[in-house]
Amino acid sequence: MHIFAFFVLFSTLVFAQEQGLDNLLSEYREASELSHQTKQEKSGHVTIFTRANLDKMQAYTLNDIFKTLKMFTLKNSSFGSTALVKSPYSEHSMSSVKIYINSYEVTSITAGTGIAQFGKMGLNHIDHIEVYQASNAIAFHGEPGNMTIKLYTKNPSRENATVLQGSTDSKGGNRGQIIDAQNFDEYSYLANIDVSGNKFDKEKNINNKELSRDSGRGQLYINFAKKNDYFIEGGASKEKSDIFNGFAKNVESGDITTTYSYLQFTKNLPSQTEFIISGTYENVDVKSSDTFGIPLFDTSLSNNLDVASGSYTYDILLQKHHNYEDHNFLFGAEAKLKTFFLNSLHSNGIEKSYPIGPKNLDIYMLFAEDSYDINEEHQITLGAKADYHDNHFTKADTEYILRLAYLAKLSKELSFKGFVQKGYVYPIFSQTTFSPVITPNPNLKVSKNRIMKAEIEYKKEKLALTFGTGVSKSKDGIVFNQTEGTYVNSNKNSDFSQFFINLEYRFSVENKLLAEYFRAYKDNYSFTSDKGALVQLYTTFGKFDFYNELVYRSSYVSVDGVYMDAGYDYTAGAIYHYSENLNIKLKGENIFNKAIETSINGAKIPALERRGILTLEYIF
Amino acid sequence: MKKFFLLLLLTFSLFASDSKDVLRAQIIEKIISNISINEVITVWSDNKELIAEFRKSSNIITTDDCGKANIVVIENAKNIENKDCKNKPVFVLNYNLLKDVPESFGAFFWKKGRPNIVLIKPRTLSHGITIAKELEAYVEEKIW
Repeated sequence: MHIFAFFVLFSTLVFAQEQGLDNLLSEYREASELSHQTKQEKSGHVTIFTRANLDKMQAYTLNDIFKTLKMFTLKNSSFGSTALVKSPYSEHSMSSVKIYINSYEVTSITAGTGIAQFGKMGLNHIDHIEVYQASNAIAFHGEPGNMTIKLYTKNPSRENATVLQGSTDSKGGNRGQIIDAQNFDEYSYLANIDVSGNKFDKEKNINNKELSRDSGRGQLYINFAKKNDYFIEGGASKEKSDIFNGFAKNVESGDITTTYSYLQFTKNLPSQTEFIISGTYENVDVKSSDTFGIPLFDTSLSNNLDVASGSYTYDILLQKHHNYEDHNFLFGAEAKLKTFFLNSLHSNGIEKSYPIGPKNLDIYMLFAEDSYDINEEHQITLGAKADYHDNHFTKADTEYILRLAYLAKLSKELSFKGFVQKGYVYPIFSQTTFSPVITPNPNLKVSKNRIMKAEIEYKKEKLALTFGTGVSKSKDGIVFNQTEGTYVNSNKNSDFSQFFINLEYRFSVENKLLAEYFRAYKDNYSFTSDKGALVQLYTTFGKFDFYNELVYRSSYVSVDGVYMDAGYDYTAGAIYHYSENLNIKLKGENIFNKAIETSINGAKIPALERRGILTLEYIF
Repeated sequence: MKKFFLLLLLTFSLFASDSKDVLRAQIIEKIISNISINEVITVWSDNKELIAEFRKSSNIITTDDCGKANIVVIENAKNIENKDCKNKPVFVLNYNLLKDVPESFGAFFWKKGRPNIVLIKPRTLSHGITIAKELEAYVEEKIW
């Protein structure tokens, strides 16, 4: 409580406007934010985390961002990793979230998106993050998603530094990061290494068995570019984590080892044309021992299970922008080839055969979009995309995405955005092809959806007030059927509606307050918080930066019938800029230990535990 | 298109109403206004956007002839090679130029994602440049 009082008192006392050159430098930094170049208002409800925000937030991992996103709750999976769950659905439903690093689309066989593997991803090399809800499934190319998270790496010409950062936390975890980014005439490079050991409190399951989700992770990112010519980037990560509750009821021991690597080449061709080619390799190795035995897909029980699977993904994209009078056209063609492999499946030391479903998925995509300026105040965007899917197992099919966006400047203070999109969600390999504990369903159909969203924004001087609302209807939703032991297309209604209100008030360039509230409505069951709020206070005072954050999520009854209390996650941080070369950072996460929790086999756990983090940053 | 996107940028980019070129010019103008060299300061730059912004201001005198300038602002050292102004006090727009251009006395540059200002004290003294109190926070003894 004393810490809270200290931060509130300090933060509220320091809203004095900075003067002179320092203030001009802050304004210049803000006017030069890279997000001004990359943000696409037409592509959805946008939330931006600038590098200045990420620094003040002390956002070390993607989870620090995920937990603040409206309409979502950061929960846990049974395997110890985090799950970004759409309100008010359960963590077992697909949330159709896509992550991009620059123009590279993170892809995963295990979850369809990179959320499970990338929650602990370090953000040291990231300049800014754009989150698009009701996102543009056409201009962002790749596989469709209802929310798109775009991570943009730092610009080496603005870094020109080698930065070493070391953190230690109150649970015994630690993190080391080093980044080097330089610019030489028309060439530049960026390299980042991030190594972390993550410790959590041990939990007890319903049988009083101790559960651990400790993990170790290493990641490397590197890029090399020639200005206005080409951009090569690649990344690799390896994470080994205790299995937590794992597959079944009474886990003895086990771990999950995930490796992920990719390489992408982007070439800028004449006439605003871009060519991108990438390759991705992913491997997931799961080892689990269970006293009672894990019920497998063939109804046998396994006391010792070892599964190693993975995938290769190749992607090739050609896209062109063309401006003609008041039209801004985008045309593109893309091919994505995914191959799943099962290296081994051992139960009690014996290799099991498996009636595997489709191992390949080839997607050939064509897309076009036209943003037309009706006049200076109104713009309309129409887009269409055709995706041909061939899994070499069932009949090939073509799915279509259609999108309409309308932007209007209604007056000096008022602006409006509206989106209508018809899209789909394609089943993932773990639903159609392989899972050790369920029978896959290779005949799953795509789930079709339609969304309609709108927001109106009022801006005057230092105040910005936004109100947004929307409805979503889906057909043939993909759900797990306990009776049949497999995924099926549900004929039940899973429509929902939502609204949010967002207020941002800027006291000065470096000092601002953000407050947000959302609510989601669904006719039948709600397995996650349907109401949430966020308050963020960014403050700078002399050589100190302060950050205060409160994330609220309402109570809910989980899938396993357990009542979960409402969550209030209060996080605060302070940074002391000791010198040009040294920053000292202190952060408290989930300070009151009241963050929203997930029920897993008798244990109730928050995604991010109460933790104090001390960080030293040295700039060479 | 152009007008619409300009309008959107102005509308949606809160507090980014001043373009970065204008702000950059204001910052450098403020630095130049706070140094003195015992004569009226006349500025030449190899950066056309910067000179264009300076010319909108009544506080700074510019010239197209670098030989007539007594403060030179550069982003590329090659642009003053073999010119009459190569021995004049130079303010650079890239930190590395402080090492490459011995006549440089200060820099406005990006480092770790933030814009920075530095004035190198021994070099300002060698050029007879006096620095006002407002700039003292940016004075350093040597190049890193």
